[in-house]
Amino acid sequence: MSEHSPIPESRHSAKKPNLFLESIHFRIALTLFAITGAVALLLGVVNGLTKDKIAAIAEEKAIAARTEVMPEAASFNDLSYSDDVVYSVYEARDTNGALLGFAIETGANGFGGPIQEIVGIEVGSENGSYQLRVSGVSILDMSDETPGVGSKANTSSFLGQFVGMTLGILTGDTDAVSSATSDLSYDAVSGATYSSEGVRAGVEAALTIATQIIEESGGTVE
Amino acid sequence: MKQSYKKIFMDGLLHQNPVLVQLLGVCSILAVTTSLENALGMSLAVTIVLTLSNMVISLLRKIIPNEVRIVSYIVVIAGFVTVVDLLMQAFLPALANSLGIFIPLIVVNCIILARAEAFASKNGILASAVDGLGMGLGYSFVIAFVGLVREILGNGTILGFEIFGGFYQPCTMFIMPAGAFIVLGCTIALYQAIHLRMEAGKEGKK
Amino acid sequence: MEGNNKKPLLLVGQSPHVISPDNTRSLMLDVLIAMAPAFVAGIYFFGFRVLFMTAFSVASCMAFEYLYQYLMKKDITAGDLSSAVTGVLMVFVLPASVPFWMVLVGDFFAIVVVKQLFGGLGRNFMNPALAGRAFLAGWATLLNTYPADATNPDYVPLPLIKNIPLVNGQPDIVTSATPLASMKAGNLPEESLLDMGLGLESGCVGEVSAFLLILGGLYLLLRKVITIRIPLGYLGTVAILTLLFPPAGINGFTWMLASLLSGGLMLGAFFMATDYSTSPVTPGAQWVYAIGCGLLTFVIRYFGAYNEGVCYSILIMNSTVWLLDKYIRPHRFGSSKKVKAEAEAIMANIRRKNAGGDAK
Repeated sequence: MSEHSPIPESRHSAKKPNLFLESIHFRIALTLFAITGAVALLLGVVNGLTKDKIAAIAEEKAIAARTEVMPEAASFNDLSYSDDVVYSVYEARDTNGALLGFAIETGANGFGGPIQEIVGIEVGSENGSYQLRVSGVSILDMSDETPGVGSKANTSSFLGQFVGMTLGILTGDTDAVSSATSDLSYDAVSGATYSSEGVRAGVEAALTIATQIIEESGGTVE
Repeated sequence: MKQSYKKIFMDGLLHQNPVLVQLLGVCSILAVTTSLENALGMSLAVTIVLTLSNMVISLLRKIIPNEVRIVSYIVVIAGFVTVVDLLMQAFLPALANSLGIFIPLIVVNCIILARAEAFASKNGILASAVDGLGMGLGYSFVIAFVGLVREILGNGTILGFEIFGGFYQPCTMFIMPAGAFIVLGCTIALYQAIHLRMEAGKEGKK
Repeated sequence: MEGNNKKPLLLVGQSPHVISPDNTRSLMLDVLIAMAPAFVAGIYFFGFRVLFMTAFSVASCMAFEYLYQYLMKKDITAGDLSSAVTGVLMVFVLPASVPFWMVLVGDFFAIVVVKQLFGGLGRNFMNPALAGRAFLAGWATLLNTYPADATNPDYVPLPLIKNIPLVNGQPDIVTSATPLASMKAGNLPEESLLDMGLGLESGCVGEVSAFLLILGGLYLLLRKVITIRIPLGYLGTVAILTLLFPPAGINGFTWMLASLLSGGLMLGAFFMATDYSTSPVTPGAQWVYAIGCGLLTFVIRYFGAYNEGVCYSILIMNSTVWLLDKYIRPHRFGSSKKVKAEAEAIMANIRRKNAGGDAK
């Protein structure tokens, strides 16, 4: 067996740090660091440039949706309430600060998923008690419904039937999703029962929560 | 290995069309072509990302170690896609809304990674840019065509304008995924038929 | 011998010597005959419009097949009546109120795309009429409007040839809920079981009269056009599943009968699932196919969004036929485990004897 000449001590210690710096592992680490760093920098710059604009657009969209269902409102107040079906509740007040009603965003399940809609509810007072009536329904997102079938629920003729309804009118016999339309208190879109039901359930949830809010603050709802 | 810029461009556009010949990027075509407007928006985003990422990857090709090249490509591509996404949300919000999740999904669009691996990592910056542009335009033509057909047959409109005046009952099958497959399949068949006929014509002339 | 006209005593020729008089045309004629009672019932319940629709459909199917084969320079087989059968089935799976252009589009898709583009008779993998129906689901509102049948007090006859005017995209006719719609909601249908069997209900043209369809199915069985396996497997699976899982408060046996007699189940089990090119060849595979159809129909009717599951369940099982045929093969003669074991034992014996002989 051949002897190999021992490497002098001094050369050992001089080589080790260089071996790492020249190794492939270091090169990989350095390149990845440089690339990800550069990309992160680019993203940081673009994000900084656009984030205000994006936030403004989102807020504009939300306000436009609320105004569509409560046109006389001058300002909206977030009541910070949400549960499974109700996504957000906004009080709508007029220029004097009096309560006009609510703009409530709901997402009840339709055919393929939740149907996001915003329901406007007018609060009228008569003889000491309050009446809550739907002032309008606007669909925000029903992309999970079948195009051409469920999407037909997004028409003014279908959505318009909810205007003026109170909780009492809406909750007719709605246990069974039946296609015999005489059983329902409203007219579903033919062939799109689940989508129609999703829209209706959202309106009912909105009316229920509005009733709850009024009653919690001491009023009576008829 | 050096090809003329014209050949690179025409390959991307026609002879090696990423969708019709290489059958890449089909997922985005099926999903986004429900209207012509969405299709055009998508094609713009993809072409921009493809060209820019091709150029950057070509620029870095000698620096990126072989072991981590795919990882690096993905980081670069994802970076450009996110930039495009943010810019679209800020300046074209309606389009960004209708394209939805398919803009971030451009990251995994096979065309971009395939061109990075097959071309940009082996060719110069200008050639890679031309390749990106050619492939992007090839993709754009196909996606626009499919989007046009699907919107006309499935909605009776072009870019939202009614063209049949009410008496046409739109066949919503074409808006649904099944219709997407059918239209894409017919487009590929059409291309193949024309291509074969042209090849046969060339053979006949020889 | 030569010169006289006496018939030869012995016919000498090549095998096979057993000749069946069946050819495609005679088979298809048998199917048309089997569908005739249901066809007449369709006319009785929905008016003479059905007659015109069917004639139109058959003519278009045969025309499409002829034109395709002529233009593509293939052999013209349009006379074998297979497209005529598709034409009749296409009308059978649609409500009587659909416009004529819809029948035309369905026929085009069924004959040209589903059948001819895949290679013609025997080479298609999906049932053409059902695939045509699935394609027509693109006009969902037209498809979901079922006209009231002749026994309904509100019945208004449908126009014979003109298309029905649309109001808000829906045909302007007197509609009636189908039994399946009630069953989807978990209730027994209003019509009695007898009514459902005879056809006094609303639904698609050819599916309403379950008894007449069973009659047609029996004719096909007698004429040996189909075997009992697929209909029995299909209907049996649906029967067992609906018997075991009726909705709350409903008698299982009644629910089972209602499920069997409602919708397109009889039509599908006897006329659609048994189509030669789209069902498996081997007996074992046929059982699996039939049970799969039944299972899927049950699942779609109970848990799916549609009222009827027959169309899509048959189409889905059609897509699996290649798999079933590949893996469920009949045993070779003598290849069962028992015979194999015996053969092994004999071979081992022989080897031992030879080895013993060598050792000596």
